[in-house]
Amino acid sequence: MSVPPRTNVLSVAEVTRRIRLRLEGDPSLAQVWIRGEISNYRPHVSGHAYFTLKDSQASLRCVMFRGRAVELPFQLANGLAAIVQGRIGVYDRDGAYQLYVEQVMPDGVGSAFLAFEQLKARLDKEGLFAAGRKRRLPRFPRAVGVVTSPSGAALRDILTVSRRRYPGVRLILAPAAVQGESAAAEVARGIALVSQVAEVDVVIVARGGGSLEELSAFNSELVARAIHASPIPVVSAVGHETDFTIADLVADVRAPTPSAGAEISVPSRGELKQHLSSLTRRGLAALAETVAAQRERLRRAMGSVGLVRAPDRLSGMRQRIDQLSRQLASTATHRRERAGDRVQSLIGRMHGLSPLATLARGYAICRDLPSGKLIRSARVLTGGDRIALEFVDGAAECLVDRVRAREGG
Amino acid sequence: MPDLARFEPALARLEQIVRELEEGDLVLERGLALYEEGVLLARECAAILDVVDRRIEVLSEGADGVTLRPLEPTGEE
Repeated sequence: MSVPPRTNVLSVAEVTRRIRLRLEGDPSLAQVWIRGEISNYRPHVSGHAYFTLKDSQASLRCVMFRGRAVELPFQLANGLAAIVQGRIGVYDRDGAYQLYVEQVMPDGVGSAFLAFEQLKARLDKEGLFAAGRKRRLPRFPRAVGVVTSPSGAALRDILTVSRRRYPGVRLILAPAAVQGESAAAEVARGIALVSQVAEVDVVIVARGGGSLEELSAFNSELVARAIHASPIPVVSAVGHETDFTIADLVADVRAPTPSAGAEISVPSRGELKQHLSSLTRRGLAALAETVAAQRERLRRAMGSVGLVRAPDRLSGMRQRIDQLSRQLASTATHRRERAGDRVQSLIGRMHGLSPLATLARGYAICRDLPSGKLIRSARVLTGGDRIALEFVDGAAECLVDRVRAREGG
Repeated sequence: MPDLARFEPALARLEQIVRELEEGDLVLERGLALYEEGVLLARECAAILDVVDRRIEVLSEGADGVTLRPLEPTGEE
């Protein structure tokens, strides 16, 4: 065993320093690209990210400082195949060499695609795409909000379709860049603003087609959150044939193009009018059926009995029918002549209904049996006579027990 | 100016009335009352549909808050 020399005894720090200088002075380690798999990933509260890059034979400690880490468009994750760029350095305190990471790129897939998939998975897990939270669009929005570029083809298409479907529709445009760096923030802001405007009942978020990169605002978390936070239904109308954007997944309704977005959101005046007039027709027909059914009931109950004086209530009804027929005539959707004729014929039929109303009020008609003659006085009856009492819904055959004529009657 | 917010509830009620009338089994008085209500609703809905407003406005955010102004016609229109 040799004796330590008097001089040249180094401190740990000094040796570490020499190693560091050696390693960090090596130009072949100062700027390296390394392929491997991320493992043991530990994000720190400080924002720095620590992980190990490994392959089948070796592993390398890595640190990515906050300033670099926040610029990553996607999340680091264990198992991610990556190409990492950085420089080798030494961390004196641990006596360890490590890679100071400047960039990480997913190996195999594009970074934008990975970011998209990760955001999609995260928002899905949070429930932003849940079918249960999709809202129905109003059939008749008082005003339609539109978030898009004021100079784009998307707006032009929406205006064209809206005017065709409903010339009087009220549109409120929240202008927003739909491409470029500020697009996500502007679109999100536009949604937040226009959805607060009084009377706006639905919002269309639109842009024409584009590549994944050009549609990035519609794949951003900002826009997804804004759609999710909207108090009124949102229609995404981003023109693209395949693949859904994240905005499509969060929106209450997805339209394949801006024109289709307007088609879905703006009611068709013609269709609504048709619907109204068909409802009016059906209502009238159903009412006529009710009248006919009552009349048939009456006819059966009445037999051959002559008409009695029309009670006041019936003339009240007639008045109401007259009034209804006038109102009907003034309805814009009304097929005036046809319906008017029907009401007139109903009024005519109603004249025949008067005894029904009387019977329905609790009166009965009394006839002699078997002659069927109408009996108007108690005095013509004696005990043992057979009579029939006719009610609104049928008749009873009766045997007279005793007759009590009223005094002076 | 008809109340645009009335359209949806009025139309829904009208549809319900027609269904009820069509189901039959109504006494005449009830049928008439429903029909009368339906006619009024139909007239109200039609009046709302006839409102022509043609309003297209642009939302802008300034120091004094959010304002709406009419859309400037572009060269194409």
